[in-house]
Amino acid sequence: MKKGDESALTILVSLIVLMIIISQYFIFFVFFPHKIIQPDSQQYIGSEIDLPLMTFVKLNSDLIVISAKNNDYNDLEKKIDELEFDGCWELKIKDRTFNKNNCDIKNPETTIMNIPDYSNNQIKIILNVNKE
Amino acid sequence: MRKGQIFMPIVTIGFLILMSTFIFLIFTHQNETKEFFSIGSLQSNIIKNYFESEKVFYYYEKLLEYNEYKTVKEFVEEGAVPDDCNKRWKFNSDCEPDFREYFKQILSEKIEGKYKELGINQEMEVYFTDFSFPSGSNSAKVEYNGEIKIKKQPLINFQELEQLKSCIESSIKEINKCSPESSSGSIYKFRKKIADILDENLEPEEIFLEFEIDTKNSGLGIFS
Repeated sequence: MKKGDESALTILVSLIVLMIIISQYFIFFVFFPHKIIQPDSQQYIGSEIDLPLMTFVKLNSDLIVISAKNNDYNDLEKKIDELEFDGCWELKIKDRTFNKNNCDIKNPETTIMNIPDYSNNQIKIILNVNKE
Repeated sequence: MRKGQIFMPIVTIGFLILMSTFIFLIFTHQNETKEFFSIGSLQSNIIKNYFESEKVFYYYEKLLEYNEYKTVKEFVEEGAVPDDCNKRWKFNSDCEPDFREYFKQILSEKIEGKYKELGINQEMEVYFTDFSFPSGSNSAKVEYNGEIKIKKQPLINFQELEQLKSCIESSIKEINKCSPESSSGSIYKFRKKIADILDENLEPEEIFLEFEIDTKNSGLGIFS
């Protein structure tokens, strides 16, 4: 066997081994899914806006109830103005919408929370945040 | 052409065909691969479901809180005894107070149709409903479920009220021991603060229990 023939054989064997490894990787990758933790950031956004809404509602539930009852949201509006989210957002309480920056929400991420009022009626609070 | 000259191009072309096939397979099995690539979705759904359950719990906590305020107010309106007793306690009759039972009766009317079980002992426990939040993916199914049970200390100290009742019952001849607020002949009036609540405007309000007892007609048979 000549010298050049040997090196061609080496390359051939290397490539075959490489192909077998890559083939196995793809076969297992596509047809045998396993549980690997790889968070999908888009799916966490919902949870990220849930927590601030819950905190806001829990801290201000009596104020929300009395504002909705009297249809006077002045005090509550000051509390709403203290809320901070990335990008455009709005908060809806019953039929009132609070949009501090008067901006458009084109791709909303929504979370909803209900609280009862003094007469056992439901007050719906909706937070919409623009998904970036 | 020599063998050695065509060998490498053929191997390269073969390799490219193989890779293209795999990429094609990934795209034709997009749903499986998407599921596979977006692992963590199940976990994030579980977190989201936990938040959803927290919201439901809070709703029922507030529901119980407001209804307890209303119940306390109604509880004292007629001196903790039925309307037809006219705020006058009488032992061994329908006008003998049974504080926990009477409170339970009023509260259950307030939250009628919204609960499954209601118990008032040392603590007040209301079993409202069940929750169920299923999450799933191709590889696993998880269901987060449970009972919405709210447990809290009642606003009214029933033990104190029961002590007052026992005092009156055991000392009817010397009823002044039980600190009545005023008296007129055989009728003794009592007034006792029993709770702090929020009224319908969510303003603080002190609640007093007022009732009277006629020592000549107390139902204990001592002066009858």
